[in-house]
Amino acid sequence: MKKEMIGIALRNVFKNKRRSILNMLTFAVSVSVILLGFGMIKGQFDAIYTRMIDLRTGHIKIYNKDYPAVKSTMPLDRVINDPEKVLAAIAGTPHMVAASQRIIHPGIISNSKKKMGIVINGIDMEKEKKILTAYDNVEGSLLPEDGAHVLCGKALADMLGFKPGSGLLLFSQTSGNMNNLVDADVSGVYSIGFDAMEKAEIYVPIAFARQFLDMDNKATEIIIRLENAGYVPQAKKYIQQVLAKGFPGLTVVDWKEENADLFELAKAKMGSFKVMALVFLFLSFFIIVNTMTMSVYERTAEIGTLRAIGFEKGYIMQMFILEGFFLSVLGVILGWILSAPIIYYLNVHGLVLDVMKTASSTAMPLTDVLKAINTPGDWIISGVICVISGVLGAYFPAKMAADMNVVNALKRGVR
Amino acid sequence: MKKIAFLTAGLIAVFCASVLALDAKYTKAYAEDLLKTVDKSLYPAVYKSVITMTTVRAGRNPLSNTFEVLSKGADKSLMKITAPARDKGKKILKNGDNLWMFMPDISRPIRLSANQSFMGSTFSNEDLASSGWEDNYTAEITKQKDTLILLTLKAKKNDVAYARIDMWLDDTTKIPTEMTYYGLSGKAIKKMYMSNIQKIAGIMRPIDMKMDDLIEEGSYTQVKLESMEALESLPEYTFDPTQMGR
Amino acid sequence: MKRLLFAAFFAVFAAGVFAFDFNLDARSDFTYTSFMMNSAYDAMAQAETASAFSTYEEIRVKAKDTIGQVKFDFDARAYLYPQTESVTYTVDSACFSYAQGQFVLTAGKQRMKWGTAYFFNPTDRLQPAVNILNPTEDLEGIYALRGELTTDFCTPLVVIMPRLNGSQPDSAFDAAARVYKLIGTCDVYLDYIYRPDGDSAGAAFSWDTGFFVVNFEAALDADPPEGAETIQLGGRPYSTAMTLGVMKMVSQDTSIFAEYYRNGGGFGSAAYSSLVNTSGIGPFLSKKDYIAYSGSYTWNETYQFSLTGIHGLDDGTIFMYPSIGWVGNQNFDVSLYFLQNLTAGGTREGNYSTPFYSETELRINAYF
Repeated sequence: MKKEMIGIALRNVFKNKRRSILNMLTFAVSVSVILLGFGMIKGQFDAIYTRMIDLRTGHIKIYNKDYPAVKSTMPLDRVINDPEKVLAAIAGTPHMVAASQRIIHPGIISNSKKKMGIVINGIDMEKEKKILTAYDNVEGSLLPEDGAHVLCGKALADMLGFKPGSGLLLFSQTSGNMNNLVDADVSGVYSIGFDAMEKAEIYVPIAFARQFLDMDNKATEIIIRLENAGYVPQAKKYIQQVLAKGFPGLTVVDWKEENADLFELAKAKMGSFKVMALVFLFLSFFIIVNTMTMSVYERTAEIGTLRAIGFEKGYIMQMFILEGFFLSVLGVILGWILSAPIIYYLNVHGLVLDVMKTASSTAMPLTDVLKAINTPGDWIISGVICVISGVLGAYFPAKMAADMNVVNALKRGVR
Repeated sequence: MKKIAFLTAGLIAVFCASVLALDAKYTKAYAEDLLKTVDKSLYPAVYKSVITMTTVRAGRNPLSNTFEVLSKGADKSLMKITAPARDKGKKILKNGDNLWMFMPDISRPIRLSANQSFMGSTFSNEDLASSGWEDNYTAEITKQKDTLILLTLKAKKNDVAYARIDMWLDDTTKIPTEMTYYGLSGKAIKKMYMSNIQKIAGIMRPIDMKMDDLIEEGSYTQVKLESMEALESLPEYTFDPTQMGR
Repeated sequence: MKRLLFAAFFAVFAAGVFAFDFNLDARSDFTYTSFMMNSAYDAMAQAETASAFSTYEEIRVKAKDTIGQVKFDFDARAYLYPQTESVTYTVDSACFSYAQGQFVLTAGKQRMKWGTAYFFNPTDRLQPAVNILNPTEDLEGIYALRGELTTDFCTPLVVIMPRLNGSQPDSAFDAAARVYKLIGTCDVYLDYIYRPDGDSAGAAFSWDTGFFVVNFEAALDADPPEGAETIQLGGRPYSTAMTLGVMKMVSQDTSIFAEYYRNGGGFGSAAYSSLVNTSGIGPFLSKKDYIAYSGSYTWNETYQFSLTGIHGLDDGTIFMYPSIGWVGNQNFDVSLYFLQNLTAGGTREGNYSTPFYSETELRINAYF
């Protein structure tokens, strides 16, 4: 009986080829859209997170407890008082590559003809090299240990006409809000292909920053890089324990918290994609409801005959649901086959787009090559979702067919 | 030859002495007194004045405004824009860390973020309010050229706006003619020139002031004191945002 | 009418002769409207002639004078409509104030705009409502007697407003009281308005957080419309309304505003539909949820660009309002506004409150 039923359902699938192909195609499109969309969004944000970790945030940062709440104003009065001691205390952090102290504060840079607002990053160059990749592509030289030397971004250098060796003026307000201005020079120009950051962030030796901003031996943050992001929970826990013991005024923030705004953005993007995927699923759902309803009408006489010769209501219903199931399974398989080469290409080679060039001026660091990330789970989930919507879509016409009055159905005659 | 060298050295010494040697009266105490006088000569404690301010920034159109200013102490001031005609009736009220703007067509105070530069000019808020120099700076006379003396102000602590202010002033009028503001590093940030000294609000004061922005060449702000009147007091409601429409 | 006009011109003339501080602004306005021909248009066309092209000339006179403790303030606008060759005028304020110590008494027609938000002011219940599509448009004041006392602790204010149209003979006036207090960098206002036919209360604050200014307003109104969200106070229902917004002046040239408005006393969709069905037209901003935002940027003190958007969240009504202006001369400027009603179809508010697709407006202002 079961086998027979499967046979009938399958035969019905191939009976009206045009309609079935339409049905399968809609499922194929749905499954491809879901696969591609998930892959691209995951890929895009993975790339952004990686870039953010590499360029700005490292894996973990340590701040004064009161600092994160007012981080955007970059104050100098909520600091780490003994950064050297903290660095020594966390030296044993598991899987740590390097840790370094920094001072971050807004300022103004000028070529004496034109001034621009920037963020001054006082850094320990030797250690920072191991933490961020922002310094990998530098024209000129990296920062020395001390002295009024500046590493500035290419976009800023283009705007102010800076080259390695150019003189400049650096203005800021010290920890006591005293105005300060010094002559400095450009030691190097970094390029990262991300305009917003190249324009805004300049780097100076931390020893110089301390003197310039009247900061004694303090720092505003400590940045830490681990072997990879997977070790973050373990390392964070270790550092938390160290701080709780010796430095109760400090707090640990991981790259996810540091990039909280980006996470929100990712969530929002994923959310809007989910809406799009839902639209496609609804579309397939309605198409299958429609086509199945039509086929129920066409096969009214056949259903009547089957019922008359003793087939149960449940049997008729299962038959139609099975038909929907087969249509969606075949559609999913078709979608998988059709999208597999594209997905393979996007996952392995990625997308090289001209758009990415202009995107360097957006607020997010994008890579030149955008790779999608698709896990086996994505394939299974996208397939299951489509099949469920196929079965659901078949349910209503199936119920209609099963509830048909046998006599009325037979009246319509066999065509 | 030796003679010539000796003579030259002597001449240089005499020349230097004539420029560098200070009159005996220019003691530390004299300098401190002078600072108090200057402090008062720029702004009375409570005053009403009309100023015209022109801001020039390289590559931008110059911007000119005339304000009527009511000021009380270091942290309370109400400015009414009287020119250009388009902005007439707009008011800006500052009370400590609070800043409000009033526009006649909205007719209620709108709060602004206080940490904005003074209407985009080279002047910062502390440059225009009474300076409080005598509390924050020590004074010393370091140079003398005829009646012009250089009063050097050094910050007592590192939490005031400038580390050092060099003020050239005329000892006969006690009015500064040129002031240079230095940052912590000792580099000059702003330079202010004062000229056109006239008797206004009871004492001699500079009418024209020009502030050069040394971070951006060619950018400066010019202030002209159109009128000034020292007042006994101003009622508190003047600085109440609910009364800005009055 | 003629007598009124004469009085107005006399006031203007007198102000011009005696006032110490006298101002004259003029505006020419040309508007082209692309109407939506629906029931709302029909209802509107019954009340006034709606023509695609309209224009007016506005002359505005301001006069101020201070003698000792007394201040006089006169502010009026006259309009000339060339299509109908008619002249109208509005006196926005005509009042004097007297100060004694920290107490200020103001009497006459005066502006009294309350609230801290930029677009939506639920606590602003005294003056006629501001036109949100043009929030900087001049507002007409109200006749009132106002007393205000500035103290170190707070600033209390009392207002008495005579009822001029005498619709209810037994109640001759409305009254209001407000207390203002500055706490740190936050303005706090609490107010209460008494009207015989329904009182209201409100609270507002405006807080400079350093990064941006946060504005908040909340109000309770007695006599709520049917279907309003209410809370019970002393056995009477009050409808609720509130606004939450942020403002930031990014730089001297750039500023941004954003606001969310919840009007608990607003129409639900069903009530709005039935209103539209009976009268053909629906009031503007009378539903429950709105957001509005605005950004403006001035380039080189010469060109001003701004974009304002208003979204009705209940039915998807959208208005976009970009503008470009030339402000290169300090006594003369030209602005072009384009108001686009992005709403069509359904019973959307945009359809039935403002029956036009777009409005293009050219304004030329001169200041003397």
